[in-house]
Amino acid sequence: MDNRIKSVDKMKKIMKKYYLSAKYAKYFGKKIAWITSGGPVEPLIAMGIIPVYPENHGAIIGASKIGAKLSEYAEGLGYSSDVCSYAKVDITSSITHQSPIGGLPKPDMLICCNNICGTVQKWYEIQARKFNVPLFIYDTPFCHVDLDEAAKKYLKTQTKDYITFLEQVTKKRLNYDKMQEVGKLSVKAMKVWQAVLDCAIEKPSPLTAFDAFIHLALIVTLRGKKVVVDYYETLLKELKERIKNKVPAIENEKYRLLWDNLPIWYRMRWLSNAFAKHNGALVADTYTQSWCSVVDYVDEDKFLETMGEAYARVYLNIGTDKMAESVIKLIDKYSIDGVVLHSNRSCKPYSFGQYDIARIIQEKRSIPTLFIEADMTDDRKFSEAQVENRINSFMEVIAQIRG
Amino acid sequence: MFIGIDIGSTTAKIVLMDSSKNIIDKIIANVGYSSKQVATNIYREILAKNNLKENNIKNIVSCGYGRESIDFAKKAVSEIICHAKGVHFLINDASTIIDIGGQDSKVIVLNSSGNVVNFVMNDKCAAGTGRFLDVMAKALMCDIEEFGTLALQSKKTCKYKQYMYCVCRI
Repeated sequence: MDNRIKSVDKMKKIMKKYYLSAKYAKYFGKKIAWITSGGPVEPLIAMGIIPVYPENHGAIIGASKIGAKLSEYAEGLGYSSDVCSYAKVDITSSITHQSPIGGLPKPDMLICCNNICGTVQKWYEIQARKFNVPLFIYDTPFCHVDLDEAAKKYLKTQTKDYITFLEQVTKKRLNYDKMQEVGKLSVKAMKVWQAVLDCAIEKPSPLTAFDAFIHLALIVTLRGKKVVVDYYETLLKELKERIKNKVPAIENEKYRLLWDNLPIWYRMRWLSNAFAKHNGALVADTYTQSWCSVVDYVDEDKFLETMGEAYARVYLNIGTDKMAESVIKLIDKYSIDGVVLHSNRSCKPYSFGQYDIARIIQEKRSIPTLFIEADMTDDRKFSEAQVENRINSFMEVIAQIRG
Repeated sequence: MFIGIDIGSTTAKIVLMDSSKNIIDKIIANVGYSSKQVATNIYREILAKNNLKENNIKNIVSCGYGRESIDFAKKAVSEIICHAKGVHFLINDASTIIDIGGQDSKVIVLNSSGNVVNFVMNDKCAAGTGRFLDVMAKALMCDIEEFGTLALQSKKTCKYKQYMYCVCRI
C-alpha cells in the first residue's frame, strides 16, 4: 500500500518557488534577510523582505548526506569539531557554494534571535563580518520558570528596536495594517500546524514525526504568508481523510513513540524502518511542536506587542523542569509508550538536560527512554550498529512492558 | 535441553540447561574474526561434551552483537533482555545490572519481577568499554582481574588531571 502523504508534492513546489524568488530577489528589487529558525520573521514578511534560513539550508545539506564533508571543511578553517554542524555547513557553504541548491543568496541583513542557542550569535557575527551587512540581535531573556515584568518590557523594547532596524536598512516605514494582517496569518498558520500534528492523536496515526519534520519547512520559513495556511489546510484535509479511511503511516502500529531533539536528517528513512520493524511508530516529537506550542501567548490583535513573549517561551529557551513538563504533556496527549531522545552533538541547549528529562519521565510516567547519540547533519557522529542494537533492545523492553 | 548463546564482540558464551532449569554445562571462548564460526564451534563442542545431538535441543536463543549471524538459533533477542532474565534467575532480588562489555557498557534497571524497566548505554567513546580496560591492563602488564584492585591502592592524585577535560583521542 502506498502510504505516502500526497500533499508533499505541492509543498515541494512552494519551497522551490520560494528558493527561486530568494535567489533572484535583487531582480525584483527585494532585500534578503538571513534569520535564525526561531526568529521573529513576521515583520520581515510585512516589509516585503525575503527571509532565508541557514538552518533550513543546513537540514537540506544534512538530508543530502554531505553534512560531514562540509563540516570537515569548516574544521579545516579552525572551527572545533564540537561547533554546531548547522553553523559549520553554513560557513563552508557561504565560501564554497557547495549545497544541493547551490548555496544561499547573499544577505542584505542578518537577523539573529538567541532564543534557540548562544551559538547563533557568534555564527551570525561571523557572517555579518564576511558579508559586511548589518546584524540585528533579537535578545530573548531565558525563561527559567516564568518571565517577569521587566523581561516582558525588555522584549517589547527589542521588538521596537527590531522594527527601527528594519526601517533603517530598507529605508521604508513599516505598514502597521500589513503587519497586523501578517500577524493574523502567522497565528492562523500555527493553529493549523497544531491541528496537523494533533492528527497523530488518532490510532493508528496517519502521520509520523518524520512526516512532520518534512512538512515543518513551511511554518519555519514562510510563517505569516497565506500560502502556508492554505498548504496546511490541504494537508490537514488529506490527513483527516486518512483517519477516516484508517490509513496508517506505519503498518501494524502497535507502540507509539515520542522523538526528542532535531531529526537525524541523513538517517530518516533508516530510523523510521528500524522502529517500524518492531511495530513502533514515532507519532510525535518535541521539535516540530516548537512552531505552535507558544501560540497561546500571542494576541493576534496585538501581534507586535505580544510576539516577543511568545518567542522567549519557545522550548529551547525554558528551564529543564518546564521542558520536562511539556514532554509529559505530549506523552499524555499522544498516548506514548516510549521516548526516544536524540543526544545531538550539535545542539547543546537541546541535549543538555535530556538525562534529567528522561529521569523525570521515568518518575512521572514510568515509560522507557532511549538515547541515540548522533548529530543532525554530520554522519561521522552516527554509529549504525550501536544505534540499531539500542533500538532493538528498546523495542523489546517496550514489547515486554506493553505485551 | 535448551541452549543460550551470547556472541559478544570479544567473547562467545554458550549455556546448556535442562528442562528443570539446571545449568548442565557452559563454555566461554574468544570470538576472533568470525562470530559465526566460533558460534558453530562452541555449539558442536557443548553437544559433543554432553553426548547430545541437535534434535535433543528443544530451543536455542541467541543474543549479543553477533546474534543475527547465528543461523542455528531459533530466536535472536537483545542481550539486555537476556541479562535481565539471566540475572533474575540467578539472583532474584537484583534490581540493577552493570555490564562492562567489549563493545559497550550497559546499566539495566529491573523491577521486582525481573523485567527491564529501563537501560542506558555508554556513548561511542571507546573508554566506556571493557575492551579499553582489557587493552589498558595489557599495557600495564597486569591481569584484568588485578586492574581495579591496583587502581584503588594508589595514594597519589592523578598528575595529569588538568588534561582530563580534553577531547577523547582514542
